[in-house]
Amino acid sequence: MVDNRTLVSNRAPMVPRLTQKQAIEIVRKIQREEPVDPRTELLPLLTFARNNAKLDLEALAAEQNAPED
Amino acid sequence: MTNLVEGREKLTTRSARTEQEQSPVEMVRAQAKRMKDLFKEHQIRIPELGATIGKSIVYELCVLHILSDLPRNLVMGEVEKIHAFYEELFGDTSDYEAVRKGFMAEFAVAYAFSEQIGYPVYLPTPEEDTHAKIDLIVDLEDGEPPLAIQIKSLNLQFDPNQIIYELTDADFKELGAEINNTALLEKMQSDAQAMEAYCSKNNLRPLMLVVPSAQSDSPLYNDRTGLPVQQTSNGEETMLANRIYNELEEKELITW
Repeated sequence: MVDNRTLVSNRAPMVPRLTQKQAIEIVRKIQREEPVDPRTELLPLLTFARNNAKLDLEALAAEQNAPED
Repeated sequence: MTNLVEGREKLTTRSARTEQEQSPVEMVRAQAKRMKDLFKEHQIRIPELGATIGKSIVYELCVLHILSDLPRNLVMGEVEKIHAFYEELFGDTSDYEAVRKGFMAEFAVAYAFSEQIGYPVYLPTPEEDTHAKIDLIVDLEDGEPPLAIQIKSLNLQFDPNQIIYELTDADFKELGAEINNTALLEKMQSDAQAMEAYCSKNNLRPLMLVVPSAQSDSPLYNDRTGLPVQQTSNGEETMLANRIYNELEEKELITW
């Protein structure tokens, strides 16, 4: 019954770790008003944002949206 | 001598802190505000994320308090950053306080079982968490089905006679007499029924644990750190772990 369960003291992260690129992509999805999943997208985004407090993800997303010269 | 050092930059000179420089806590608050504004602009309701966020905080506290080798002051700094971020994100302090109170109690119980009593503690699946209202699963390693535990953090202006309830009529009568709040008791019974139905189909033993919150007369955990209130200066013994163990023994749930 406990074989496939996650121990609270498991070292594997409960929240998937995002790369900066993945975090920006979720921000862009929010900006495009596409549906986002609370567990697999919003929570990892919040965790990424908190751990990278210096990054302005919206500004980075806007840079990617800007047309190239 | 004056001539030799005149105009030189002192090695140990520290520039005064400018307005732009922020402490780590201020930085996470600023980041949380950016996230809050983004969510608000695109109609993402933050209070609805409370349970998801709360569970992740329990896990993060496990990593910080149990797994990490960080010195205590650094752990506490990280815990404060977590609170600062979510306090700012939720905006309405009472929303986050409600989340914090409940999930800090969950962590305290997980810590007591795992680190102080010594039983493996598991997180429920999302379905068990949401529909069956199960907060933690504890394996007493006695060959019997694991315990499915629902944790209720309550402000109690007295020290309760018991904190572990077995969802029997007699236990609910006892609980009703303790909390003296019909609406709250009905809500607890409803949550208990959801858990009981799930447990009977899935080979789990349901239990409810009522933990006096930090605002109670006899609190059993700290609602900033999540740690059980210490009984001794070295923190090895806590009233929470002692009471859990003794009550499990009284209920003959510990068989070895």
